[in-house]
Amino acid sequence: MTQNAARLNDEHLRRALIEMAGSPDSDALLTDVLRIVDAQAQVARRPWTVGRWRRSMLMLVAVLLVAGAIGATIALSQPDPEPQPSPSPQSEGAISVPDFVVPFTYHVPVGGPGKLGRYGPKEPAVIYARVSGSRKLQLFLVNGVHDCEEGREGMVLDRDPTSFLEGLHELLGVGMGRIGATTLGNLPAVAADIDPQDNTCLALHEDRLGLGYATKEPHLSRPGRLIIADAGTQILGVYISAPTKDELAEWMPMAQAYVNSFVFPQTEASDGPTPSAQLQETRP
Amino acid sequence: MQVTAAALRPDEEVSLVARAAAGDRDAFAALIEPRVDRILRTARAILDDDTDAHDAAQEALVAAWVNLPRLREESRFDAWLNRLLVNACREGLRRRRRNRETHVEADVASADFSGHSLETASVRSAFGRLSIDERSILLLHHLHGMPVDQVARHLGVPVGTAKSRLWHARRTLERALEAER
Repeated sequence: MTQNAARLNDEHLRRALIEMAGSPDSDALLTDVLRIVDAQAQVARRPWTVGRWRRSMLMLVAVLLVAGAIGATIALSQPDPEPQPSPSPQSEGAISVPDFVVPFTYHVPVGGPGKLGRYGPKEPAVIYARVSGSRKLQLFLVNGVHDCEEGREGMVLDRDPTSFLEGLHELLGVGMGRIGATTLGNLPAVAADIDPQDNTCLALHEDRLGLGYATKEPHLSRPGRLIIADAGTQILGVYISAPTKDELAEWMPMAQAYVNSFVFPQTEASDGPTPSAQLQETRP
Repeated sequence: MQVTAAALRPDEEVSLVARAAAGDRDAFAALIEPRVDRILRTARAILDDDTDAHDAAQEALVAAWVNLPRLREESRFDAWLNRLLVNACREGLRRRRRNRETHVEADVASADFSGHSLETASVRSAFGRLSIDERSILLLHHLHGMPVDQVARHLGVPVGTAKSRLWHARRTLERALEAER
């Protein structure tokens, strides 16, 4: 058996794949696609999309404004004699959540709404904090399968965090701001602000392995921030949301304090094992 | 065998993507023409069926046209298109299962391999046991001859991640081959 597997060298594999790919009629495909394209409208361009030149100018103006503000602050302000208090001090004692899909610990911030909850005793994949039922923080498993509307087949997105967010926007039409680096507790992560006004996929929810908790999933139909991190064996997401942007701004520091306190078990680098010799690049 | 996605310079590519995103149908045609053969052969190898491959490739290319205005970075067109194709292939497999048509694995198990070498028959059968993502990355590297950095660009992931995924896909294929024996 091992001998058979070992016989699969690159050349054998390449020859087999060429046979499998065959010689399909690409001209017919091109003709069909262009005929459909002639009658098919494109989606509207993102309202905040700007040209590269204009984008560069906007960035330059923003940088100058920020630099000016920093300069003015330095020039006008006295040194602060007292260190700033932590904006979100934590209560004593880490709380362990061993039965989430990725076990973790967290702290309840002082003034926070209390311990994180779950939708049901058998719910393995969504943890949440909620204030008066309207401001939410949801920690959930990302399996990459999303539905956009009832009855429509889920779409599978790349599980790489950045690609996942881009897929939400580019493939499913989720209204989204710029994607930036952040952290999810002790994990490196990426995040983007969700703007439902630009969302063409209001009923978006995750399938999450088809467990049938569709009504309890984080719907990205409210203003919020979506944070995605690779936890090694699983991809995790946090959605911080509120009914309005003003409420979100009020809720965000407290929600972020929860997120900052998350500690997940450290795993090996997500890049995986050192590639074998057979995967060394073979540039032409 | 080295297959490049297109013979255009990168700046020409970006310009074509931008024009196509603005609704220029001719620019879109120029953009996809050099890619159609690779896309269709990839779909053919993944789905193991000419008709399904045609449908999946067509679905991916039409989706690319429709959603192109949403693409943030023109330079990532190939990565985006590849993801559309992988999703279309996955959807094609789902449709096949839903319609109770021949499952890929069953198809492979009972397929007529008379036209193929024994080696290809084994690989083909084992290949059908891989995930769509695993099939896709193996095809990019071993069928289309892309070096790992180009594979990484096509998948929109770091080079290290592409190497890791390629390594895992290759190992999975080898294990599947062992299981076939």
